[in-house]
Amino acid sequence: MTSLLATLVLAQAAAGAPPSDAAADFTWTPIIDAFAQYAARWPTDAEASNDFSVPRVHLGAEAGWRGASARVLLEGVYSTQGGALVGVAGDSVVVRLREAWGGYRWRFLEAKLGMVPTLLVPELEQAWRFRELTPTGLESNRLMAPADLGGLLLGHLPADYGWVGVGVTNGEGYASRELNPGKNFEVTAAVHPLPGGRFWPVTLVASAMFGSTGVVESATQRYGGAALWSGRKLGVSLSGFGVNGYQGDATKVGYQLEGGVRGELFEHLLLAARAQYFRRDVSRDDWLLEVLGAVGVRVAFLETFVSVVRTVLAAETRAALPGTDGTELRLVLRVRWPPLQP
Amino acid sequence: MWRWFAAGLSVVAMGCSAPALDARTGELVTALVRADELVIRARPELAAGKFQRMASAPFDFYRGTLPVFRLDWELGRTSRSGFATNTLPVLGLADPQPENFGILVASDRTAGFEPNDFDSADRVPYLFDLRRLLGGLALGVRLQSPGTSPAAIARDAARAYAESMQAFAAGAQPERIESPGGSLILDDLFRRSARDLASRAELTQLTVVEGETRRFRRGVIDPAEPTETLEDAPSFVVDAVPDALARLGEDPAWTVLDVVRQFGSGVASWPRVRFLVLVRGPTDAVDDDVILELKELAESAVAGWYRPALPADDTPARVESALRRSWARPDADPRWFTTEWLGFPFQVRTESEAHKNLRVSRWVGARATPVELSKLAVVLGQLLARIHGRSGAATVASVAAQVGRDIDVFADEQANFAEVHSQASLDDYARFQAALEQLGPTLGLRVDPRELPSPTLQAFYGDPP
Repeated sequence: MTSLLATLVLAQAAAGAPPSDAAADFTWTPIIDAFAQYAARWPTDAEASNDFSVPRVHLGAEAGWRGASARVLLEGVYSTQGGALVGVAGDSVVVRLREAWGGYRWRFLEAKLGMVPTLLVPELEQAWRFRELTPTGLESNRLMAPADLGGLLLGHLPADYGWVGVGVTNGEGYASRELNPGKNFEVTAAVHPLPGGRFWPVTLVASAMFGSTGVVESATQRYGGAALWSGRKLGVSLSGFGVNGYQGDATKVGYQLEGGVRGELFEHLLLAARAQYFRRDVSRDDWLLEVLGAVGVRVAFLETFVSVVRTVLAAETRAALPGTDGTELRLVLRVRWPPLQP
Repeated sequence: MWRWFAAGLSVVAMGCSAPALDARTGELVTALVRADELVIRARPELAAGKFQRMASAPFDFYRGTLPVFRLDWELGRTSRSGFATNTLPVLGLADPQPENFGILVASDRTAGFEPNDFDSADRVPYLFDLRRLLGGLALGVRLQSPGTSPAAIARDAARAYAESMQAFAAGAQPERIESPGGSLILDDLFRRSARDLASRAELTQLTVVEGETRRFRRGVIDPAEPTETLEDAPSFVVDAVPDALARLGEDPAWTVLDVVRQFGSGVASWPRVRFLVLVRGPTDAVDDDVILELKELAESAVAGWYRPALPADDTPARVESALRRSWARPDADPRWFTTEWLGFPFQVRTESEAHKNLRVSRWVGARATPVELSKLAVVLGQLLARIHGRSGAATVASVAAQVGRDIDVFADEQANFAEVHSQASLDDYARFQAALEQLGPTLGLRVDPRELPSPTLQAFYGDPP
């Protein structure tokens, strides 16, 4: 750790990159991110169904003044199907905090405190960009949360080489209450090995998380890496992560592999494909495979897709996770402000 | 090197006060706490009462472990089967353990053996329901009849289930179980039910007549159950009770005479709000007064499977549709219905000593022989099949085809499961007792006093004695 910090200090001294003048002024940006979808499902172990839904509504704002920054992001979610939330009827939408943090950047160091985005998941999502189609498997399989209560410290590498970050969080994610005094530690580095040219989008990510979950502090560890191409017209991602401890079973060992590609043709036409493989337990034939293909259009702050998702489970896993194995056809609309930046 | 580093950082992550409990205990505790987290935070004394009750006896523990059963299912421990594929979900009970069955007296005063707990009724894999039943059955056999093979009893139940599902798929009509059918255990139930129906035993046990009016007793009713008490209900509850009974109509028979809060009833639903309501009955005579139970309902412990399809729009509708569907006749208890009351989902049902629950503790003597336990197992297997048989023709056909691939192998597989699972339940019980001792009454979840509900809501939840 000492050598890492020394390297950062020396590198920053060489780069000598103070905050730009533009960043010295107060800025603020409203944030709107909402998905609406129609989905038709054909599970292999249940009757077909179809429905309209709004899987996500995020509203918020981000402000900055010189090195200081803050963001508040509210998320609207359906309450459970009735009874669990006192005084809230079953189909009500309740609002909760998705992010709420303040931060400060001094030279190459940036710190955030509050309900903060975690380090790894947002980085992977930034390469994929189309969260409305499917979240990263780390999130959908509940291996890592995209946000949590805690603090982050990032060291930005000079010359746009990327960043190295350390996070300390409660560990139960933004959607659950903390059940134990233990904390999660996450160390992530996202490096652009070829900055400053046409190969800047190449990003190498390495991450490790050590933590615990539940009242009895069941140990959880995640570790792995990703190779990304995060270009404007083209995005490619390959990642692999080891999983120690899953669903409160500290002895369970598994892994997840994920690969995706997205492209934009003729300025507006969007194509995307992704495959996720999650081996829940290496000692058994227990796995899920999700394959997605989508075609869509982007116009200003709107994105719309038609996607097909096929989820295949091992026989044993299919019995354990009823209703998961099947095919889904989705028509998705996303409203995103500010619009997606190149 | 890497392993040592990871292990060291994990220790730091878990803090210095990490309890020394094994991994299985951790799963067990976390599953129970997550399932009841809101209850623990809002009414910690009541949640503690539930955990204490679960720690008091192995079968009481089993009754409270549906969240653990679900976790084990999702982790592939209890869901592994050669008969799990290509079936549609059944409209099941989710928790058909043996003590969730009993006698109900219908509007024509005839008795039937029926399911009587629908708190978690939902769409489930048929094997989930069946294995929850078989696990409880085998555990009961282990506890009450040590010389009897739990696997053999479970095998009989599984076989009866499979054959009945095939019969329903072929068009057999569901039948009400109106007599013991040669079972000493059921005979015990029917006989005591008839006796208490004739004597209106609940009026004797729970009420007194003062002047010309009947009212509830207060305090401990049965010295053998000191935590089960009747207490005064808050005035705002008493005033609102007629709203809860609105579906019974404007009949003067439903004039409310007295209301008490009931503590200490049930196991899984121990912390839920319960009131007993004494209503006047058809005449002014005190002998035909009727007692109703109002019990708070909660979300199903298996909610979320087969998302986004839901079994009903809300909790009251889910429970009521399940009971009407599951019973052989819709008026198995003519006063059982669900409603939303004071902003909470509730069910109303007749509180009667004639409504005898199947109790594992009564499987003793001549009722605990292998032959008698087998007879009961067959009836329970058939009854569960009858309930699942209301899930629609395609579903019934899919289950029948699956179990019909080889009924002997199917029954053997379930018997093996029940034997292993019932022993695992006993092991879990010991772990749970140790965890409760070590982690404290709320199983280690620290309650923040600032999060306790308002005084009015606390008055509604009640303060257990």
